[in-house]
Parts: sequence; structure tokens; C-alpha cells
Amino acid sequence: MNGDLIVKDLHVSVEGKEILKGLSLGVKKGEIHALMGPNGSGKSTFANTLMGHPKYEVTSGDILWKGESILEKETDERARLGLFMAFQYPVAIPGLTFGSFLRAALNARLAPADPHANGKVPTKKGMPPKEFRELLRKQMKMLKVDDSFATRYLNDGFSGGEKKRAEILQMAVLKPEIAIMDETDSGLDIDALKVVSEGVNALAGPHLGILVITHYNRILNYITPSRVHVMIDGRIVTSGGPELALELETRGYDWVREEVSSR
Amino acid sequence: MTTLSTKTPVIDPTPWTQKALARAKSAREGTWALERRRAAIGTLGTLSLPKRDDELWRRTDFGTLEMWLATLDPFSQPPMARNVDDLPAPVIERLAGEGTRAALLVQRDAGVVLEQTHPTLQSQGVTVCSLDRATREHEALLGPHYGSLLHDDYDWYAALGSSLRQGGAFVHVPKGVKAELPVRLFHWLDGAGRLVAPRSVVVVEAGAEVTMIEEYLSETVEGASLHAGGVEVFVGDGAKVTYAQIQDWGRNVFHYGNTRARLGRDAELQWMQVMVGGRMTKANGYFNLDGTGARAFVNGFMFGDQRQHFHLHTLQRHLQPHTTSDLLIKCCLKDRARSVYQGLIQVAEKAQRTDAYQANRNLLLSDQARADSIPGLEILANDVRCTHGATLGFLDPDHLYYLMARGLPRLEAQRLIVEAFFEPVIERIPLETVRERLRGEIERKID
Ligand SMILES: Nc1ncnc2c1ncn2[C@@H]1O[C@H](COP(=O)(O)OP(=O)(O)OP(=O)(O)O)[C@@H](O)[C@H]1O
Ligand SMILES: [Mg+2]
Repeated sequence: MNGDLIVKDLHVSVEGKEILKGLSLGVKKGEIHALMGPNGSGKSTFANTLMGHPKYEVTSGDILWKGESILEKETDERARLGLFMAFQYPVAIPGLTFGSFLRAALNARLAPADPHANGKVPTKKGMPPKEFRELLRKQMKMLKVDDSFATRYLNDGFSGGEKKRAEILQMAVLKPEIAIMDETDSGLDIDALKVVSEGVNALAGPHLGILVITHYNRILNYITPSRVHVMIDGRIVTSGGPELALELETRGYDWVREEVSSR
Repeated sequence: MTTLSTKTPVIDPTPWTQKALARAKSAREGTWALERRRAAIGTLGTLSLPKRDDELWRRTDFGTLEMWLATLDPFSQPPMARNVDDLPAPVIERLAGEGTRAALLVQRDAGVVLEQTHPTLQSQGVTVCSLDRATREHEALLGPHYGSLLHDDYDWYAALGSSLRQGGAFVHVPKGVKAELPVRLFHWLDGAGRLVAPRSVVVVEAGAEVTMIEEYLSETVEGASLHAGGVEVFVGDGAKVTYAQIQDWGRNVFHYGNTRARLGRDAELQWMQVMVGGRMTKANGYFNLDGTGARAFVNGFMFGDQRQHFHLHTLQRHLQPHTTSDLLIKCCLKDRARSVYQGLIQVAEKAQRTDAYQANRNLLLSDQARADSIPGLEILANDVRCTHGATLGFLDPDHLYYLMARGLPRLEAQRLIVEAFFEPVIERIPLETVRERLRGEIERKID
């Protein structure tokens, strides 16, 4: 297994219950992977474990970022390394404008790692406000998002589709190296799906590795993965090329389950 | 917290009150005002220090202050300021170069050191002066208002304030006049050991408008000081008043403050109550909706750290039909800070078709902090819409996680969440420079 992000035999428990049961995966910059699986198979658990959510306890296995374990790193450190997750369910924070939040996040991302800073990251310095506004405007245009987004409170009163666009907009501004998109397609109508997919395709390239988590093939009609992985009950049970996604589309997950149990 | 029920200090304010009287006479205070002062001194003599069985004092113990009380000096008065340049540096800083874009009244320790009206306001007929001056020069306007909402017998500290009264502002906006510039009041203390008792009266006649910003500032020093002040605001028929009161004292100051407002027919009051400074605060804000169609919007926040203590009591008093009051108090506490919000809505029998809302939101950043919320309703009318509610919670870990997942360090994420919590209130405060100051203050407190 190789990649900028390598997951080795990962076991994860939530409140004492094992959800991930030996998951291995590698994603390299420039690649697009799809992770598919039925409800409750552990996809979001996986994504959040990568991000370092405090509730998910890694009981064994490892997560390597460019060869180094990041298990001990806090969520914000992982993000500043260049790991990004588009949330399946983004939270709303009334009172915090999208623009000021994202500017603080970008400045944190741009701040050089300073071992003497004692964990402090300057979020007020960095890109000048004017330059930031221009960058944001450009990306908002790409994602066909209204200008008023910047001054609205973060995800507050956003429609389901707007929330998903807002996630991709953040990704576009923060320029991660590896991005996990947790069901970004769900809740999007067909037009929004196209816009978001086009946005993702515009961002894709040799500097970005993407892991698309989804139930459906729908988004994969627009974003072409190089690898497709099928996850059932906390493990990746099979992997293949894009054709695997089509097969799942027509045959569902049951045949995979049967195949696995007959092994 | 120490309970002093066994050894409540005995304080005899007579030497103070006699001296206050003598000083007022020699300053040629208006005769009517001297009468009021004498009456207040009489009332003070009949009262004793608040006791813990008084419902409004049960959760706030001024015991520490009361031990200092006898050592405080109610008469410390620095020289007059010739202009803004003579003011204490922090006040100048707060003015942020906007000193010429407002009428200014600055109190330093016990006395007003600067009364600076503005030509624009002057030409509009707006009066801004010290209350002391107004007792001599504006008896007809001030006399009927002073003390009509804030009564000396409210409690011992109120009576003390009226007895020792010195400083504060008198503001008058004539009928139909929309004041083109704000009026800014500053209170500054030069050190510890002070007792200050300013009283302000704001009279806004029918159809008039004004914006007021009042700030309480000082440096933190060893020892204690007491502010025992009061503000009465009269919003005439169809008039509109925006009033922001910002308590940002140094950590050694005990703040006792009464605010009273009376709204006439179709009057509107936007009231902002901010408390971030001081050692202990005891504030009582009463809003009397005394004219059909009157509307009061009260927004406030407190942010406490270390062992700060804030006690805010509000009364939304609906006396006439078709009146509206909408109140939102937000409170965030860290360390071992403590807050008490005690809010009452009263609706008189004839005040039908009343809308009254009251909300108190508390955010705790530490499990040693404590916020109490005590709502109350007294509704005598039957056709009213009335809601009240309080919430209490810690930082939402999902919010924290979301922000950290975008690269924001924990403290930074926390700061953004707390700022977000306060922002809807802050954004209602007049003047961007004042808002920026408050945001900075919040940021400093979080780190
Ligand atoms: N924070 C949590 N607390 C308790 N149980 C959890 C938690 N997170 C996940 N689980 C459990 O772990 C299992 C996997 O959930 P997860 O959300 O990872 O699945 P998923 O594949 O993302 O599902 P979906 O397709 O519905 O999004 C489920 O049984 C879920 O109830
Ligand atoms: Mg999921």
C-alpha cells in the first residue's frame, strides 16, 4: 500500500463498540477514490477518525500522513497538514459569518508551523482581507454561490444543498492535499450535483487526492474515480475500478455481502 | 463566598451625607435639588444595608465591599479638563478620534471634568451638561423628572447614591428634534478607595430621537471602589432612544447601578446592557411601557472570568395596552465567574394586547462557573402574548470539532464560538469603534 495518506489495519471503537474492524486504504495526491457502502457500515466513522474526532477511539492500526503517524495529532493539526473533510452534516453557528470563519481558517492553514508558538496559530494575520475577499468571490462564482454567502452566518438557515456547496467552497479556499467528501452528493438536486461535481473536478489535479464517500453512483457519473472500494461492516471487502460502482448500482450490496461470507 | 450575617459592619454615613450637603450648598446646587438630597439622607437613615433574606440580594453578597466601605472617599475630585487632551489616556483611546463627532460628558472620580456639547447639537437645541449644573440651570426640565422613576427607598445603596449624588449627565432633546450626533458619557476612576454616585437624567421629548453611549472605565488596582449610580430615561410620545451602557471597570470596582426608563405612546427604546468589568455588579433595569404602542428592546450581555460576579435584574413593566417588550440577555462565564439573571415581566390589568418576550442564554466555559436564571411573570391582563425562557449549556463539542476540522486551534475555535454567541447583541451597539473595542475585550478575556 502506498500514498500520501495510508491507513493500516484500522480498528476503531465508539463508546466501547467496535465499528471499524481492520480497514486499510491508501490515497495519493492526484488520485480519486470512491468509498461505497450501505448505511451504518462505518463510512462516516472512518472519515471522522481520519480527522481525529475525539469520540472515535483507535484501538489498533495506524494512520500515516506522508509516512508519519498522525494518530497523536489533534483535529486542527491534521487540518493544517492538508487533510480536509467535507461534513455529511455540517453544523450551523449563528453569529459567526461564513467569511470571517473561513478567513480565520485560511490564515491558520497558511501559517507556517512554528514549534515555539506553543500551539498558537495566528489566525488574524495572513492574507489581507481584500485579497481574501477576492479569492472567496472567485471561488463562490465557480460554485455558483450567491455573494451574500460571505456575510451570512455559518450554515445558519442554509438549505441542504447550500450547506454542501459551502463545504466544497471551504475546500476550494483551503486547498487541502487530501480531501474526504462524506456524502456530499446527498441532498443535492441534479443541477446542484452538477455544479458541485464540476467544482470538485476543477479542484482535482496532481496536488489533490480525493476520497468520495457515497451510496450512489450518481456523483460518480460526474467525478470519475480511479479506484472504488466497497465497505461493509467496518471493513473494505472489495476494491476495483470504476466498473465496480456500476455493478453496485445494478446489483446492490447483497451480492458483495454474499461473496464475502462465502469466502 | 463569605457570609457576613454574623458580623455585618455598622456603617454610619452621617459624616459623608453632612459633608455632601455642605459641598452641594457651596456649589450652589439648586434649592429644589438640595431638598431632594435632604429627603434622600432622611430615607437613608431609615434603611439598613441589604440583607441576604431580601430576594434581590440573596444571590449577591456585597460583604467584601462592605468591609471596605468605611474607608472609601466619596469626594475625590481631580481638576477640570480643559479639553479632550486632558482626559485619562484610556478614555481618549476609547474615543478613537471620534471625540469631535459627539457631545461628550466625562466624569472622573466624583466629579464631571468635561462637558463638551457639540455645535451641531447645540444648534438643534439639544442640552448636554452635568446634572449638577442642571440642578441650577434647568430646574423646570429636570425637577419633575429627577427621582420620579428611581426612588430613594429602593434600597440602601440607592438612598446612598441620592444622598451623595455628584456628577452624571443631564440630556434634553426638544420636541421633534432628531439629534444628529450621539451623546457619549464616560465614567473614569483614578484609583482605588473611591465612592462615586453619579445620577443621569435623559429627557427626550415627543417625536425626538437620540443615541446615547455610556461607558464605565478604569484600571485595575489594589483595593476597592464603589460606583452607586442611577440613570433615568424618559422617552416621550413617538420618540426614539438608543442607549448603550457598557460597564468595563477595572477588576477592583463594585458596581451598583439602577436604570429606569419610561416610554410614552408609540415610543421606542433600544437598550443595550453590557457588563464585562468590575469585581461585582448589581444592576437593576426597569422598563416602564407607559403609553399605548410603546416598544422596548433590551439586549445585553455579560462575560465574566476569574471570580467576577454579575447580577442583573430586569423588569419589563407593561402599563398600557398594545405595548411590546423584547429582551435578550446573553451570558458567558469562564473560570469561577458567576452570574445571576433575575427577570420579571409584569402586565397590568388594562395592558391588553401586550407582547412580552424574555430570553436568557448562558454559556459556560468552565465547570466551576455558575449561572442562575430566575424568570418571573405577573400577568393581570388576559389577552397577551408572553414568553420567557432560559438556557444553560457548555460549548457545543460539535461546533468546536467543526471549526478545528478547518484548522483552527482549540482556543481560536472557542474564541470564534464565544464571539458568535455575543455577536447578535454586539451588532446592535451603536458606533463601530465601540463594537470593535468590545470584540477586542472578549478576545482578551478568552485567551
Ligand atoms: N458517535 C457515535 N456514537 C454512537 N454510535 C456511533 C457513533 N458514530 C457512529 N456510530 C455507529 O457506528 C455505526 C457506523 O456509523 P457511520 O455513521 O459511520 O455509518 P455510515 O456508513 O456513515 O452510514 P450512513 O451511510 O448512514 O451515513 C452505526 O451503527 C452508528 O450507529
Ligand atoms: Mg455517513
